[in-house]
Amino acid sequence: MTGTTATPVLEVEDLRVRLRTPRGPAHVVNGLSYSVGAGETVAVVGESGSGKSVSVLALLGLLPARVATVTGRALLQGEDLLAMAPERLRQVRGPGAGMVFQDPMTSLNPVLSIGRQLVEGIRAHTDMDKAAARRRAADLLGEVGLPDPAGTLDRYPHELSGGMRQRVIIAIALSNSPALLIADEATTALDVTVQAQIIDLVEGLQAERGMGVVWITHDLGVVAGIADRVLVMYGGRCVEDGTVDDVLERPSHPYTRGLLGALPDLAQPAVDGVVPDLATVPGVPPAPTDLPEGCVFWPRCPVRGDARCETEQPPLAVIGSADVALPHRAATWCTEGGAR
Amino acid sequence: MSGEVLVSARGLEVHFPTGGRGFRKAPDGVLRAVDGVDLDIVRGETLGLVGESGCGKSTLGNALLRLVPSTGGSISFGGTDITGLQGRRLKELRRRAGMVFQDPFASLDPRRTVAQTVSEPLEVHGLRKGRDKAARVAELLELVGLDPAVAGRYPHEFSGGQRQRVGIARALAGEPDFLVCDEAIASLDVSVQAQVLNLLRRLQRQLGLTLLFISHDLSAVRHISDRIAVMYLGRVVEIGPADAVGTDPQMPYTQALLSAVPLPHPKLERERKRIVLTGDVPSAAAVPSGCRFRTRCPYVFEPCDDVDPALQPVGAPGQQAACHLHGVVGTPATAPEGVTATP
Amino acid sequence: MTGAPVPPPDAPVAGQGDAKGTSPGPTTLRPARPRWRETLGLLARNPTAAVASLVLIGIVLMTIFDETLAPQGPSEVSVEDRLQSPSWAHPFGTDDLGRDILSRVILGAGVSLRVGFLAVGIALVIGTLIGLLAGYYGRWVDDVLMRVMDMLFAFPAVLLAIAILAVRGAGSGNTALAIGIVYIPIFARVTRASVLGVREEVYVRASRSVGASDFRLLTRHVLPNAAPPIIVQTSISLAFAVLAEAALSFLGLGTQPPNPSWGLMLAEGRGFIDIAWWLAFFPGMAIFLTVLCFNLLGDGLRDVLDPRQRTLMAGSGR
Repeated sequence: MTGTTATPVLEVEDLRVRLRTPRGPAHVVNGLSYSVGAGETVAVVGESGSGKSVSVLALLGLLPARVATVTGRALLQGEDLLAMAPERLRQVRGPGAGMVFQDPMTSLNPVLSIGRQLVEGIRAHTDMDKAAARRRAADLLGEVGLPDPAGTLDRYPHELSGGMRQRVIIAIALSNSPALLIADEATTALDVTVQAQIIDLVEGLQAERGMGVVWITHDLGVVAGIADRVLVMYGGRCVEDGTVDDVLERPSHPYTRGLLGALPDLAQPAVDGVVPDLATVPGVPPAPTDLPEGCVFWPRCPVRGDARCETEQPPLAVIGSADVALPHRAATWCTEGGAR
Repeated sequence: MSGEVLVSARGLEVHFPTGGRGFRKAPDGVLRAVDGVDLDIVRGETLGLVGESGCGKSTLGNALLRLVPSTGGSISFGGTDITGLQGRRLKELRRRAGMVFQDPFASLDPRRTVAQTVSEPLEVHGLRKGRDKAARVAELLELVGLDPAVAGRYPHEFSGGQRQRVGIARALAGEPDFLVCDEAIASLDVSVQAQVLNLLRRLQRQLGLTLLFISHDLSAVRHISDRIAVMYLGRVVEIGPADAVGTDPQMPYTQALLSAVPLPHPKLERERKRIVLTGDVPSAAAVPSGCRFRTRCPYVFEPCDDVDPALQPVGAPGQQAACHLHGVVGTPATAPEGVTATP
Repeated sequence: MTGAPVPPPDAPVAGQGDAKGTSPGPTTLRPARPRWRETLGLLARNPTAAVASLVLIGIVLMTIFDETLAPQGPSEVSVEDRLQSPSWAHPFGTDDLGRDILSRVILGAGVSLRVGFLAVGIALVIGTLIGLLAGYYGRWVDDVLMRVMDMLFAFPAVLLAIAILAVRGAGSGNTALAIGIVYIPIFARVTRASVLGVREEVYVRASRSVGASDFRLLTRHVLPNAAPPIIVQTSISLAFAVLAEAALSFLGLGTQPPNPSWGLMLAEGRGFIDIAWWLAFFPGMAIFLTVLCFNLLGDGLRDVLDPRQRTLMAGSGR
């Protein structure tokens, strides 16, 4: 499914990740497919254990081969990441795709200066000399909005605040002008005002460079602000996807509805002066070693509107109009109003 | 909800001496985590305390419970001054005021069973013995929505949400009047957060608790609180009824904070005008003179440099904000302590 | 830039949903297992530690039943039988006074182990107490106590032991005391370091918020959670204590003849190495084996008691 007519920057087809655990095989990602076009932001939403982080680690070959079995295809500008030789993958990681992780403190090496960490990345993928690389590094730091770029090069991570560190990490991710930026819970550890700054920054950089962005988060508010397209993950599968308006304003899958209902609404907390209880989804997500046979959400589903829910896994099928560029799809037997 | 004030603070200060070594130079070697807070918490209400990291809200909560020593000002509980409380009296306070901690994985002793953890207040204060104790533990577990049969288990066998419930059960064991929830939902998944928020509201109604709900999550605070107080760099900069502060904030920091909270409504998100603050929060060891928010405020003007704003009534009834935009009120840096500039 | 760690598959979660009775689903809690039983189970899975433990248990049993097991008394002198090589009558041979070496090794075990346990016992109790107080209360208490420990620690161990023995006189009991005193600082340091970490844990603060007294916090929360490194240190120190006793006896300061002691036997056997190797060999092997087993047990315990390693190990086979 492509959002634009041009070749997508990233095209993931039927990604599956199985981890070997002492408790048996864990099916952490089960058949994930999506694509990201140039200049497009795709948000992958889910709670802990949904497989969202593992899916991108798998894409970039960051899962230990001993325990992880990855199948499927992931075409980055036409080349399959999952079929690449390790050497080629290493070449691709900087210029092809840049990655930003959640915790700014542990993503940076505490004993190396900022400059060294940036320069390391730049020189690994280009043949600039040290001085040229340093100039480029300073430019990048300026681009991500750090106040004193040249001075920051010589500072150490612990001297910077969380927001500043995250900017540095974005600079490192962008240092080789990648076509794709992957942000994994990149703003979760930051204060809300700093989060707003970082989101603004990424949006600006994306517009400037025409990058595709995959934004992984559990925060539906962030998704609403930044995404063109949304994928909701549960139990390793995509249970709903579509445009951000479709998924957040007209959620179809009971899990998505549960997730939205559980959010305290800042915009409208009270109804007739009374603050209602939050709608909760009882229970806990399934363990990847022990996934249910039928619909992956069945054990917790409040709807259960179809006999097939328990035994047959519903495919991701189009809801509403199929003619639009990006149809709204959900993997459920029960849409609003009962069984399909 | 009666008008009786249960917990009160006047000029509360919690300052930590800093070593002076290292990257951040502290001009007077003091980290002003809480820097002069006046606060009244009414019996039966839920007061939400919001702010970003480093604003001192957790320290304030701990100081009110005397878990962290205050270095200035006074605290009173139930009409009695508890600032210097020691020994038996302090222990009595511990029974009447409890805390729910942020990290459900760290707040339970991994070597003690759930029953042992929940019954600790009962043992410490000699409230129940033997079979009565076990019965009370079962009662508390049911109260927070757990099966009493799990009492013999160890914390590592539970999920985060369940552990947090155990923590709440422990906090309630001594039948406290006052509960401080210090980022009690921050470490939980979204759907579990909702469960715990509902639980806290139900418990408050059922048991008539007074809650101080500390969180950086504005949506959650707005949902659960009767009144909201906003903190910045150790001071309360705005306080008032939840609706008033949530819809019509009077202090620029609160406005920026609210505008920065992402809402799960794409249309609203596209249309809203966000106030993006420049720069970073100053260090609590180097608090700006005058209004401490002036280094990032979009509306900064003359008096802000010099006069430290005091909370003044503004906006809805019961609402107060510390901002010169509503009239210059506060302590000038150049004048001797305590003199208020004429508005 | 380092890659993010692989998120582990979901930890086993209690079957009940987060609200009583609302979660359908058959998963039930594993049967509850007290931590110490789980510890023993995990230890059993480590082959070297398991074997070491069995050997040590054997040695301890041997010590308890030493008089029954030893074919002869330790001081049964028999001049005709002197310096006989190992044979059926004397599996370990005889020494220069005709005494059965096997019997002396068995009985010597008792001496070595008793001195070892007594010494470590002294060091453990006093050292742990000092470390607990220093680590928990900090500031001047910490300064004073640890400076004293530093002074003790600065003395070369053997020299200190010799000095103590010079003052108190030789013999097994005083040897145990000397070794014990020498080992106090290490226990104090290990305990203090562990306590410093545990003291900051949220659950300690939580118990304090509930009104628990310092005493309660120390005994029920701090010490149990600070224990693992102390336990490991105990095992390792037992190894060293046995070795130290042997060394001191070898030097003539520890156990006095005619009492059997492995160290003493080594010393006595040294002169006969070229003509009767068995005099020194068997006591030497005994020392080696015991020290080795204590060390292996300590290593095994260290792995099992480290919470992170433990989760990895505990996850399997359940």
